[in-house]
Amino acid sequence: MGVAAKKQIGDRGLGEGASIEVMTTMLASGEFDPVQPIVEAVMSGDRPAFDELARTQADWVRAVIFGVLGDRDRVDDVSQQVWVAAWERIGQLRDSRRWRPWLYRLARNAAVDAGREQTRRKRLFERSRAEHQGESATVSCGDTVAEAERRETVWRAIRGLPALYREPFVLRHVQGWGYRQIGEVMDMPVDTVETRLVRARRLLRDALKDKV
Amino acid sequence: MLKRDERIERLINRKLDGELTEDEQLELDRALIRSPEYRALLEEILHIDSLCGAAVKAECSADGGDAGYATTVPHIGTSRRRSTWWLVPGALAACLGLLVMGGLVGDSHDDVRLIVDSHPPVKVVEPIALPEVRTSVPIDAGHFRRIGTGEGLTRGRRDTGVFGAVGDDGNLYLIEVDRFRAVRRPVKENRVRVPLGDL
Repeated sequence: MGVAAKKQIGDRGLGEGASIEVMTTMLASGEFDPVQPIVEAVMSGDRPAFDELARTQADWVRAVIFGVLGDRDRVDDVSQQVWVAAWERIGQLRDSRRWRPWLYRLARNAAVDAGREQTRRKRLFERSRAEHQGESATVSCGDTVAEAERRETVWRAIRGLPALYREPFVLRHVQGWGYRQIGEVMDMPVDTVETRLVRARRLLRDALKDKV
Repeated sequence: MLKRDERIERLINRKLDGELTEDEQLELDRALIRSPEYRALLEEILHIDSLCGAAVKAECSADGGDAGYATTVPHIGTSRRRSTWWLVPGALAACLGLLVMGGLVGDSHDDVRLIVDSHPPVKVVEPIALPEVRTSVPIDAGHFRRIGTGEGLTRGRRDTGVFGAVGDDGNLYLIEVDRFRAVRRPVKENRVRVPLGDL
């Protein structure tokens, strides 16, 4: 039996004779985590494993950062900071099964810190963008002005969401996670995740009604 | 009927997120059939959610791709892998045994790919000729069914699930199952236990 499967079954207090039934139960309850062995390798200093982890988990980390910051221009910078911090602080992760909430907290804290530092600059920037409507940075080659304005309207609505609603909304769409997965990462009950998604969509509808 | 409106709004959201139970689906369907206002609400929420969701996904995905929670297939200890082509039938039988236990995805024709981690990198084997497995449940080779006790497995609208099975060689095999639709249904049959040694 592979090391990863042994450990995951062993952690449940079962012996090596555990059959497929146990594995099925673990899968049904969502306990089987194919990424956990990679995290354990990273915890023992395996750099290629860390690169694999960063590559495969990049999207949702970016989603967390954007969910908190609401500023897509800063996502790349903050994301790099998060992965540097993750490598430096991997020793702080005691339980490899809790790697997602741990990484989520790293990403969230980095985003919050970045938001605080840039608060005044961001206000000035947004004021400037509002004053210069129509010179939107979202205009790209081939875009009509109407498409660019529509896109900017959508982004304004998303940015306008309170972070506590935007975060689960972004994770839901970027990762396709269900309520349970989002709740596990954000460390909140499933009902809370659902409620925040409902409110996020309600706020977006209010902001975009008759505009798109 | 504010509470009723909020209830339907919540059910619509759960539908978008693939979290509806069968009873909730029926309740929502009845409401939508009876009320054009609720149908309009569904369309509105779908439209806005789709628009905003596409925007954030395009922005936050590093490669613009679709990295799912359960579809991350790691290279687990590749240095410990060896060419095990002759163990694949055993692993498939183990996987099939896995599939006749636990909860279920019904009424859907699943496209199953067995992902075998080996040197060189991941090899996809399809289609799969299923070996016979001694169970009390008839198996249709083209249509997987899993029988388990209790409520069965709840799966949302996710298209892909990842399962693992431990083969006779001790290696961990991952199966990626693409589904078209998932429902949760209570299952009354007894759990079928298929020890690895019997396969």
